[in-house]
Amino acid sequence: MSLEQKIEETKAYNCVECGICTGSCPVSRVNPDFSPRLMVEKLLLGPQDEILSDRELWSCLTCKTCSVRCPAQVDYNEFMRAARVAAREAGFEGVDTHAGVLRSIMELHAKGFRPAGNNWLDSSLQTCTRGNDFYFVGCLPYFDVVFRNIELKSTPIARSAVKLMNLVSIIPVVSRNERCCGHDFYWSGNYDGFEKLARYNLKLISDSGASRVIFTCPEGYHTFSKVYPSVLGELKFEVVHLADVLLEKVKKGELKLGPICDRGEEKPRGAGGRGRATAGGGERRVSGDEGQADPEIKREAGLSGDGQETVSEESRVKVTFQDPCRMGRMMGQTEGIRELLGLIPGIELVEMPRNRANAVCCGSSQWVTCTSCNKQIQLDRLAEARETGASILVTACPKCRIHLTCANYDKDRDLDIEIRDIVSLVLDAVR
Amino acid sequence: MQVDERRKTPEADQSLEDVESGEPREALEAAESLEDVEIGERGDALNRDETKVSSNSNIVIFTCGWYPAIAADNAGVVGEEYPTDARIVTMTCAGRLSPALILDAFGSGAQGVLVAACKPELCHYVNGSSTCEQVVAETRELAELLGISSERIHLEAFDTEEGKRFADCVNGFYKKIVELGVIAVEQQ
Repeated sequence: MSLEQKIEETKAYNCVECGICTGSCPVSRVNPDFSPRLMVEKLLLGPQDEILSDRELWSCLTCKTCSVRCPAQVDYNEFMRAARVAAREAGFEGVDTHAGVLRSIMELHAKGFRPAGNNWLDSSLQTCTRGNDFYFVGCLPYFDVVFRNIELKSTPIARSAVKLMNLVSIIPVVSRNERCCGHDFYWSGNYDGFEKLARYNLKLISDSGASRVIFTCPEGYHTFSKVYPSVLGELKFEVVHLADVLLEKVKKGELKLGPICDRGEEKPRGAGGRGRATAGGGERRVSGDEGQADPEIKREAGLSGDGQETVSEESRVKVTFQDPCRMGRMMGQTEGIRELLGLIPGIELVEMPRNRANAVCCGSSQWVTCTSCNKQIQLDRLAEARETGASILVTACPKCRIHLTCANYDKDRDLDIEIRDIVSLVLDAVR
Repeated sequence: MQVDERRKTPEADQSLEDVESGEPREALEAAESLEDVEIGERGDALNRDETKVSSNSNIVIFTCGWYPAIAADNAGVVGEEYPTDARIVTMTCAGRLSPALILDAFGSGAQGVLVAACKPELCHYVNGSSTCEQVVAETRELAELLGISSERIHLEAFDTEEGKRFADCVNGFYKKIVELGVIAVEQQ
């Protein structure tokens, strides 16, 4: 499809030049050379080649804040993606981050190399090779190797996920041959690569006989849920984020949660020790948890956040939540994880000023273009999180966790906030 | 202009024909001594063509431009031989390597990657060679995750006069790659 057709489809002509997109864009805030409508104007008013060779084309985070707010309903996200496909065909590319290692990994996946990615499993985790539920791990095993320099391990999320699934009697299929979901290729304009990955993964899942695929990564979740069907036809299986599965199980009483106790794991260098004081630091589970209190009452008490006999006011843990772009704004799912957090006794959720559909992207996307602008977006977001007074910043996306942790790590000052994934947090709370 | 004039004479015609369709004797002789070299139309060995993957066991040798490159040259000086589908890629320093470069080599069809670096204490750029060690270690882990056996990536340090050792290393590595076979790649 040519750019002309894309302009029609995304209604780029409807731009009334109001500037709301520029005001909303996290990149525009720190990068004066970029704004969503500037990209559209460059295409509409200038020679077509100008936008294709423009370096700023690759600055977009594809977070969709602009599209959601545009009064003329221009689909900037889709327009940007199409422009990138065209740019790539014309021989222009963005600058790969991390010297291209992640792009290289995804390319090898697309070329047909058969990954052997499940050595993070241990004997305590039950999995199978054919079953009803498929756990799509994604790129987590590779992140362990690539992000060793920021002391961040991502496979604990996968381990926690399988453990939690086992606890609610789900034995998921975990395949060693999983390939990248294709999200990064899709949004950075490598459509052919994306299609190859999509086909491989769909075949893998159909071979496993699964009727439901569970994700811990919103990017994979969004790609399977919204992008795969538009390209390869309707999915023959259901797609769900693990947090929603857990929420359902907790509400039914199949999973019991108690106050989290501080284990201090997975804490990168940047997260200070001082914030711990409010986080029930090392506090053992006080009386009343194991079998004494009625599970119903305990849960309801957890919901309201007070009257919880086991957690005193001072030892309540304040957390704040980073809505993933792909789940919050792009799929409209903002309440499920908040509800789940509310069901953990002793957790008090304080919102950042920009939350839900207004949440700010974690600052980097598709492993393309990471500059001081991206770093500034991340630091601003971390400062925003710290200002809420929370000691834990909860993420639901491995990418958010990596990017925010990386920003935290580089700076000399301790931003004093711990970044944890919802899955690990829930596992800590399980009784 | 000179060519047109030469065309007018029958002797000139004959000489042009010889060059175009005939096979220079030198290449033929060379071919008989190396079994797996094909001769193309113009008389040059086909697998010197950089864009063609001519065998199932080709390896890429990332060589530091300082001592290992001299060692590779020295291998020729002392008359050592190793297979022609071992392609040398010279860098200024082995520290230039990144995991992506090695993985891309596999993506382009290499079955093995040999990294020839200087000894860390002799690196001209102080820490290039030790960076290279870390890079190779990281790449080995990523390769395992990608279904590429980590034995297909090998790091060796060379000094200038080690031409024989260079050739032996390449031959040994080549043999191992042939044993390991072709990397399983699904074609769509």
